Amino acid sequence: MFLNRIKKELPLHLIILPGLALVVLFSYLPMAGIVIAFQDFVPAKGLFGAQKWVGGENFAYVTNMPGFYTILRNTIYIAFGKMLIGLLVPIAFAIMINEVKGKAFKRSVQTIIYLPHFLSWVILSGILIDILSPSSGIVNSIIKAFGFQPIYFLGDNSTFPLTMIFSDVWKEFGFGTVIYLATISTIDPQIYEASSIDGAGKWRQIWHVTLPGMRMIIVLVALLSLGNILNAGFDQIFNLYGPAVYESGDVIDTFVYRLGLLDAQFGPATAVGLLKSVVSTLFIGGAYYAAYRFANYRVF
Amino acid sequence: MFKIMAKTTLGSVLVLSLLLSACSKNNNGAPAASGSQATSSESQPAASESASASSPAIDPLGKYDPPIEITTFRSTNETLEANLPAGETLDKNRWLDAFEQDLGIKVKYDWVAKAGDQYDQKINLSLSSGALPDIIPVNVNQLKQLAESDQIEDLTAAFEQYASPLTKELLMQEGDRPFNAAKFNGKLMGIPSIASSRETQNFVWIREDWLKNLGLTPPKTMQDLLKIAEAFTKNDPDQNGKNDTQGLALIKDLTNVGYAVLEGFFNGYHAYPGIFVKDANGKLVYGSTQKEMIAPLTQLHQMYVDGIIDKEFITKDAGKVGEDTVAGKNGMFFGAHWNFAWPIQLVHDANVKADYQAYPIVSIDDKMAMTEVNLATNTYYAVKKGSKNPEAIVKLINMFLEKNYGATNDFNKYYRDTEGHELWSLSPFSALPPNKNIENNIAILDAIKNNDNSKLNPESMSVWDNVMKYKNDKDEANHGWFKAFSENGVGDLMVQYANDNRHIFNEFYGAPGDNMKKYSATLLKFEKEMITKFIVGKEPLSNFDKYVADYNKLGGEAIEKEVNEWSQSLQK
Repeated sequence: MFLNRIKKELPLHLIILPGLALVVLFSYLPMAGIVIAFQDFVPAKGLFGAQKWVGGENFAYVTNMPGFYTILRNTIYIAFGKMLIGLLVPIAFAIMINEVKGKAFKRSVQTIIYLPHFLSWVILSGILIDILSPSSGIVNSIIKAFGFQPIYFLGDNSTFPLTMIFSDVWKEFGFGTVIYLATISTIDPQIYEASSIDGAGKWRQIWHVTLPGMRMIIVLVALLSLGNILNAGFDQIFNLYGPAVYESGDVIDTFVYRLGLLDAQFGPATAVGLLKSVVSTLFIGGAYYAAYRFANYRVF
Repeated sequence: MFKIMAKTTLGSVLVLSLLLSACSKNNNGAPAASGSQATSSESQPAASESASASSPAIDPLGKYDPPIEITTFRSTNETLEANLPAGETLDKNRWLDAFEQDLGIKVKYDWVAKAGDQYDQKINLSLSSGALPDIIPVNVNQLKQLAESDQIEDLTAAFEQYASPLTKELLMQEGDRPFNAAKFNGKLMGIPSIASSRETQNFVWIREDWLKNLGLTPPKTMQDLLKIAEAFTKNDPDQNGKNDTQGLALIKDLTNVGYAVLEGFFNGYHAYPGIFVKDANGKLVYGSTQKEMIAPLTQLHQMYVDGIIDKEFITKDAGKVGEDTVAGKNGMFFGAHWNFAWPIQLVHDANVKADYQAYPIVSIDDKMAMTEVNLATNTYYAVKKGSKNPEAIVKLINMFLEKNYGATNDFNKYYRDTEGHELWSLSPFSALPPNKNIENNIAILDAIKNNDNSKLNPESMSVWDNVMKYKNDKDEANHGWFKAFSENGVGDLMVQYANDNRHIFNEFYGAPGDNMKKYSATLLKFEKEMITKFIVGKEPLSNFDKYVADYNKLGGEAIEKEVNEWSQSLQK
């Protein structure tokens, strides 16, 4: 019986092997580099050379750095904003677009909102600087047309984080919308028919049929995005920030970039990276447990 | 960002390669007089006579018999590989043959990698795995690590004894800084592969057609310059009837990138942001926190309020500001010599009437304005501990310089042939005398003035060709070259800067110490943030003292102490 099972499943296990090997090679082995977080690391001595062990000194050094808590706060603010709004907007949009009747219109809207996802921030940042310019940008021209003062979205500490959040949502919501639309299309039309016979209007259908049908995928996406709680988006911020908005825009990743790559402070930079991973793991784990307890959600 | 970097880098590489590469025949026999002055005035070498007298057996170019073999790393690049002379490769070429035949040194590569990321990764890997070759080309940081982990040889004696007088003279053209940077505990741990530091000197670039439109003359003083900037903003210099121009272009990062930056402006007030300078007591102090910064910052704030500086500069990087410059929205900026290729050629492409001209930076008072420069030498040849012939690298550099600049030079065979092959780059070991570019510029300017290109070497000839394409055929795509090598063009100004010794060196040029490593990330951010705030008026200038106090508290004081200790360790 047992032998039979092995015989039957062996080829399947063998198929996993190459993938597993790659994961071990590229995801698990490099984790050995974590030791750098606890060392006064000198590259010339080698990864496994006679490095000086400093215990938690790198962590203490980083957390005691002036401004570290501002950076942490900026990161969480921007990352959480992106998570929350980035979760809600595609859901709302998918439901709305699902109700649209004209097929051609539906498809073209879907494609157009999906488009920015493929542009890199290097390019988009240039475009954003232009359209958000207080003197010549189109957004501020509209604001001025309504008689308001122009807003310096990218140059003002009070608006910079929100600009990061909304521009990121704008770039990525098309992608999320596609996922939710696919989910909606798997809902059995009979349920809609049944609900309309029971006298449910559009709103009631959305609330009682569409949203419950999307529940699992919403929980999954929300769960996965929780891992990004300390990822405020390096590409975007690096291309858009500057000394004037360091106060509200400097985040952990840009900080690590300056620390690790520009100043060659490998120990502290690794310590911050490790800290980020640990926090992400805790969040994902906690959220998974909560989803399991309260929403009866499970991956396997 | 990357597009911009590419553009900027391309521009500078292009120009640098043309300027760097050439060496005219005239200077073969007698390498610049200024070089020899530097040699005698500086303390470092000079012992050549005594050394050779006491041990006559030592010959800087002596041959090893039997031949020895040394290993090293080699960087390469596409241009080099695409332009190899027929029948020669990186592994088999005239330089390696010369090293083997004349010096009895067989050079072998442990590995060859493309310069840039690939090379840096490989070298870091080799350093961390301890797989070192005999001769290790490294940067100053890596040199320090190797020296501190005791993996390389002390080269003090080898250099003293084996460096030829020519080598000592050429390597000292910029003073003893490249050597001091490679010294740890008073020991020379690497031979500098010197480069010219003057390439980063800033000029002020002004739209000359706008000056003419407004009936203004070029600036002689900072006061003139401020008046021009104001007129460029308020008096409609492009005469389109609209108030759509700004006087001074500026990027959000404020310094360092060599285009639309502020070093030249601050230097005009004798303030030197970002570098260490000697104060009245001979102590090294950090320029960005000195009281000399207050006057220019006050002025910049006023210019920001008046709209002379773009109100939106805080969101614009070099690429964005470059677009404005090309569109004719601003008419003046501080920047390096290569700006004539980018963005100025683009300005001219967009508007044939647009005509930028470089001027030396100007001073607020009767003291001459000096440009701040950093040491450009960034490669050092270290020798692995226990290597049998640590002096081999000195001999190799001796030979490199002798064949190119010495009495027995064979320029066309070893430096560049008549087809323009960059033969010098076939050698894995090189050092480019800093004064060479200036001498090149002089040769080109002379040739153009006398309309006689017979003395030009092939690479200078390509500059000549570019200039002539504009001069004779009115090829507007070469307008930048024409301007650069006209009288008082930027090529000429570089020579004038050199003649006037118009530069102040960053007095700290060693490997960063522990305090600097520890605090500089925080401090650099703080400095840029505060300077930006002073300019846009978020912080009043009356808080400058508080800024300095905070700066020192955040680690500035510790760094200053460390830098001074380093500086004193050089005196020993």
